[in-house]
Amino acid sequence: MPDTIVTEDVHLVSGYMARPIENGSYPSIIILQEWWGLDEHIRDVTRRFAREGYLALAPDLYHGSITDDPEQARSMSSGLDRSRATRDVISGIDHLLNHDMSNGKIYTIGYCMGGGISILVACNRKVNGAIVYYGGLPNPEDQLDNLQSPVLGIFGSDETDRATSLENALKARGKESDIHIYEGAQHAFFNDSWEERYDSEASSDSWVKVLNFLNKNS
Amino acid sequence: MPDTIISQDVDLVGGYMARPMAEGKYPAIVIIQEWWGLDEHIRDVTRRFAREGYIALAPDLYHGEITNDPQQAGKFAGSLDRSRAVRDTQAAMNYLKDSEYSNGKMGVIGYCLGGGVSLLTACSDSIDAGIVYYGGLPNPLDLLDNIQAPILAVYGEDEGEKANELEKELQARNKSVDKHIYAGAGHGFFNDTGGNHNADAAADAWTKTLAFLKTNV
Repeated sequence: MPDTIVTEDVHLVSGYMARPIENGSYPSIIILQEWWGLDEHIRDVTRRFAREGYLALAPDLYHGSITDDPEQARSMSSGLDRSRATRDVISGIDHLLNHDMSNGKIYTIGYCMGGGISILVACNRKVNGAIVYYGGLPNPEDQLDNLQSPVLGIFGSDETDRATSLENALKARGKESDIHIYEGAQHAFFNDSWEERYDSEASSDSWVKVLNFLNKNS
Repeated sequence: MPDTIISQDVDLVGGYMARPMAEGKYPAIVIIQEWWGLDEHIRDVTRRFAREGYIALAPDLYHGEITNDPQQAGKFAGSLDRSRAVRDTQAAMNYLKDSEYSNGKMGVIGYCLGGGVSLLTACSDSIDAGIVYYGGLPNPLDLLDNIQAPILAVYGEDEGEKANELEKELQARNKSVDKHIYAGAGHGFFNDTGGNHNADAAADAWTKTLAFLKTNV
């Protein structure tokens, strides 16, 4: 008699991971996607961190969805359950810290929508450092009271207001932070797959700042 | 020049899902494993619920590990981060809620180690029914204040005291609880692949479980 059911091994939370081939003990970093989803650009960034000696993981916050249409991206981003996203990231953190090659250090870095999530996660779980590229404050802002990690903020001058808000919100709470505004650069300036926004000088300089921040907090 | 890195898609939380083959919307149930891991028995239980008309999912709380050695099972269970287990269960619930086969109703059932996690989940999430088979009480007990779902508690006679304590703590907080203690049965009695299997108790508990789910989910 034919069965009446269907069965499947399923992925409840997935991600893309890159790490050094050579055995060793490495710090971990979570890479948080822009509003497009876990796209080729974010995979590329993940690999870049692996080449710098990190166990790097980009969790798929959109659970299989991806887009290159700004309207669709906006809708997906505003529809993203931030609590669920935080839990997904913490699942990613657990995965990395349980890895044989983990040295116990963990950082979060996020871009755009992911920037906001990077800080939000750091408000919920202590990490060794949280990096925000042009991302927003948590909502409600008071979640920052629980932040125990140093923050590096990177913004284009088009979002000076946002950068200043973040800096003020952190200073007011006595939180350790370092905020940089790149003159002439725009939101998403680090995304080298987005010709319109990419700023190669700002991008290279910020990359160095990021690596220095990670080293400083290791 | 050869690359110095390797990369791959990874599963941060996996699970085993079973559902009716026919198109439609079904109530959902999360099945939480015993201390052995997401083993063949739990997969079988998951399929049983699917055959009763549920979209059923068992999250892998041990993230790939599995054992049939009690010592190892004890180690795994002892080192299981309970917050992580609840997060994994929440990931299962999210997956089910997103499914086109889900009608929005959610039950959670757990056995042994999973029984404790099922209770913890009932304490932190809004679900429609929580079922505990011989599971431990939350620590601290005050977590029970937040339970919103009716609870079905199924225990063997060997853990009658635990069952009574659970009932007492829930009733003291005005929570709905339905307790059954099976005389002559012991911890793990529902597991038909295990040494403590008690066929009569298991069959009766199954009937009660389905009836409880039908009422609430």
